[in-house]
Amino acid sequence: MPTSQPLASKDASLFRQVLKCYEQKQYKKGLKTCEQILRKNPKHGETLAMKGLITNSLGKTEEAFAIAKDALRQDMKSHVCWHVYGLLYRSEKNFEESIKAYKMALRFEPDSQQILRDLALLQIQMRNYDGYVETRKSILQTRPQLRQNWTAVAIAYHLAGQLDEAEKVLIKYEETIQGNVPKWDIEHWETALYKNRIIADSGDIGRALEHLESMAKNCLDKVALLELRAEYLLKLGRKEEAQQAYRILLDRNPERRDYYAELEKAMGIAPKNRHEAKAIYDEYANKFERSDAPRRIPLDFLEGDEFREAANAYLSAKLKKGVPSTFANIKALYADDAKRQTIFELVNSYNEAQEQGKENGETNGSGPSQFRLWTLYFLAQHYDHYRTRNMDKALECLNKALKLAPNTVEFHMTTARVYKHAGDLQKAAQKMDEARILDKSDRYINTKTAKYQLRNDQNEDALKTMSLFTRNEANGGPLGDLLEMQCVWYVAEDAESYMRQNLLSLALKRYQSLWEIFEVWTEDQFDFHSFSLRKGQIRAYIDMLKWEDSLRSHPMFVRAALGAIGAYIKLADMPCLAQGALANGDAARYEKMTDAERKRALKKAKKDAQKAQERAAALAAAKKDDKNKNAQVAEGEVKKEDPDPHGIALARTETPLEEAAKWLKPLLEMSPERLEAQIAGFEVQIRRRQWTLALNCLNKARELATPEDPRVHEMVVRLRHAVNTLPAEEEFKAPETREALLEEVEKILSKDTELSAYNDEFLEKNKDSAAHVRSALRIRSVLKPEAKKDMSPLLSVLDIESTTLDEANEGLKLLYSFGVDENGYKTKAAAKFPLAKVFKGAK
Amino acid sequence: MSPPLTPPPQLHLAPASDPKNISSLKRLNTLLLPIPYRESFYSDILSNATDSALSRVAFWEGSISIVGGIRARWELTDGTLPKEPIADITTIRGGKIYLMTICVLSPFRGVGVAAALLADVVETAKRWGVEEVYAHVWQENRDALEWYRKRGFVVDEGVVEGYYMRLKPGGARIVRLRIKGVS
Repeated sequence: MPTSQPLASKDASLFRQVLKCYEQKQYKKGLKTCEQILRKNPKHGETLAMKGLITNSLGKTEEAFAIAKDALRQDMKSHVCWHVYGLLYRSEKNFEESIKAYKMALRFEPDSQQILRDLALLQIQMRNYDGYVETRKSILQTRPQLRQNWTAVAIAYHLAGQLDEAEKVLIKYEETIQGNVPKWDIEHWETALYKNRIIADSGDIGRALEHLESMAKNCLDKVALLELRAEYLLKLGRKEEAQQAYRILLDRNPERRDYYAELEKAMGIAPKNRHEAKAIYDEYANKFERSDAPRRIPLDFLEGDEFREAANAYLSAKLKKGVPSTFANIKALYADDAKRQTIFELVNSYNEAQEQGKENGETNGSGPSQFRLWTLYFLAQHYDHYRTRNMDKALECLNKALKLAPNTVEFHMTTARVYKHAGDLQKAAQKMDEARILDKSDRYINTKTAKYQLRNDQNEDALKTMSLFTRNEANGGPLGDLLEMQCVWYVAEDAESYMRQNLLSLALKRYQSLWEIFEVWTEDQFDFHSFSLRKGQIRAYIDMLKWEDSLRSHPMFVRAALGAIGAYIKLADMPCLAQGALANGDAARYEKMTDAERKRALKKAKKDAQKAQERAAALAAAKKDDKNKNAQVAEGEVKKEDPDPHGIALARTETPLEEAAKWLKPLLEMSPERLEAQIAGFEVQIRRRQWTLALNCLNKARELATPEDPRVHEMVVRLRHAVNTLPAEEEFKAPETREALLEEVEKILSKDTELSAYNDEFLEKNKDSAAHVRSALRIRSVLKPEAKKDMSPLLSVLDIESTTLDEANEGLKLLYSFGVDENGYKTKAAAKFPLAKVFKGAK
Repeated sequence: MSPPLTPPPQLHLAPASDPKNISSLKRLNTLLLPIPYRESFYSDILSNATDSALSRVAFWEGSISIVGGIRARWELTDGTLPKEPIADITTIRGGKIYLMTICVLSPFRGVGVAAALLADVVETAKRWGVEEVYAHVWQENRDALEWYRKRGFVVDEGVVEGYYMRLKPGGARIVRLRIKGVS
């Protein structure tokens, strides 16, 4: 060991003991042994380093860093000290610094496998491909006998974009083993297929095909072989052979839709002329009696009588067999008016025939037929579909079906769903709960019930429902288990529920949890950098890396980001919300209240928040008692208590907009094509007075949306207005300048525009669209905040037949946000949507 | 204004113009800085007398490995390099000093290593009577900007866009220290 501080032999053996203690997680013993060595050698760097490492494992990070730094100052030539220093940074997730420390460690101990491996892991995690190539090459040089080391170098080159180098490495390895491969060696054939992929990625499809055929006899992954071969043939334009290849695949698996699509391509069928493909589907439908795909796909392109005939065959077969998901299977066709009509006519005719048959006494004795039940179920779903909604008829069908088979869970569930769509969330949750009781061991219905309870803002009930299936002795109870299991849908629904209740602290807490779950997903790949290599599953590994690179474009992240940004914007606009929830409308009125009223409102909000907390605390205490009974916590495992379980600290942030910007960054980076993301970006940046950034978002949004989009209109006018009223002393940070900003905004809307008139014109032109009306009214209140608010356009929207419940609800929210009297609106809306709970209680 | 400048007793500075120290400095820079420098960046320290006078490495407790280093160059008042290298540095009067790199291994930060390196260059600056010592700093490197500010540097308004091609964002801020006292 190239350390400048050799130990006496007794102390050296103590030091080895320390290493052992650390590996076996006997931290306290390890620490004691360290002290023992240090008593005699107070300046021994490596012992100090180990002391730091163990201190960190005990959760005292800051102290650990101080010790490790001291260790390095005592003995900066020890690779142990540098390695420990790197490990500390790694545990802090500061990978950049960690890499530097490992590199220093390698200078003093260039052949250490342990350090080289750790360094390689960090480099690939950080996508530092050039560095990864170098490190991987060093590892290969020290251990060339292991195949995974060769593959790893190839992967490194592949990711760094040097495909030819990657291939060379793999060829060299193949030369060294000289074809001595046992038949069952999966790893070898995985590597061979990986090499094939590298060749294909380099663009030389012809050579890739050749290589593929050279191993066709022995390669174990037959499906991959066939799929790649078909793909290459199609790419090479060898259509006859490609057709043949896809037919072979379809014979193996006639349900795979991609194969049909590729086969159509190989046959040269244009998307407009898909009718020509009917013969293939007929052929496979005949060949595979029970196959769904060849029967369902033609419904997409058939028209008129042919469609009617095919749909009739499809629907009657499914319904007779009793397939509950029949409606879900064909729902996509409802976008087409004619097809929707035909489908309804068909199923309705089954229903009528069945009703007639019943009247004629044609029952076959053994209860209702499957056909009867699922026809009724289909019709109920038809009447529940938003394009063809008719709540009374939907319930009528369901009631008929329930009379025939009272215990069928689908019928109960759909009943709940119908109520949800009608706006009676309480009844919906209640119905779903009734369905759940039919079969308490059914996790699906249990989950659905929890979701419906959350939609009705019964957060505690929902958690109770979920707790029937969670590991409740986990740290933090059922909620802790849900977080640990990364049950993102629940966390998101819970957050959205708290948002509805204006409980921003809890909403932010949930969003924060979602943020952390995505962090964990990023970190999770760490284990695979070594695991996948060891197992030789290279193709899947590369796919995973690519997936991780675009992880935050996941719809759930987008949903969480938009929610969290919305919450922070609310906080920025109404800081009083940080104190606790204010009832709907109170928040908007808050600014206008007298001091006494404010105090009262805040007091009430605080009290409510406190009550909620106390309830939660009591619940937690009860859980804790339970837990203590069966406590079997491993020694040394540090359990971190959440210092802010209710998100109160989160909501009290001084800089809500900066917090929002933190969410915004990955959102705009990974999902720039989402209009909502650009709008959120605009909302954050205009409040941060980052004019150029707001402008960029607006310009992107203008590309994404139609010119008449109300949200774009809103942004355009608001930015114009903000720029018009920009104070002379507004500071611009270079390179941004006032002139450039003015020029860019001028391109969008001239400074001479009379904004009020412009907005009124927009309103007049679009007074039949709820979204447009809301936008125009919002703009009106921005331009003339003091003017009396004329809400009549909002009320007239309710007269339009096509206005949906969601639209009406948004209108109500707008009234709340203005702090305008909402009773007239509620009364009118309640007449239109009699079941919707939100409009109840107009005074 | 500037923090106490008593360098820690374990710290020793040495000229970088020793082949061994140069290779150490090179290793240090490659490890710590995101930008690779050309070979001449290092070889000039040996051949050019002004470069040599303005480059130092820092040792800790007489160890043979360096923990920090600084590399600067002398420029004419208009910011260009002299046409011919200056052979006799005692003749230098005026001009500017440009800090090219300064860095310290992270465990040795916060104990005055960089400050001692900078002080060495500033002392030379005073001796030569240059107008200012200046440097580019990556726009996102708040710690560094703060560090310079604390030592009497003034940060220019505005960002030099596209200065760092390998970094994102690629802008740099310029920091300047006016040198008043002439020997």
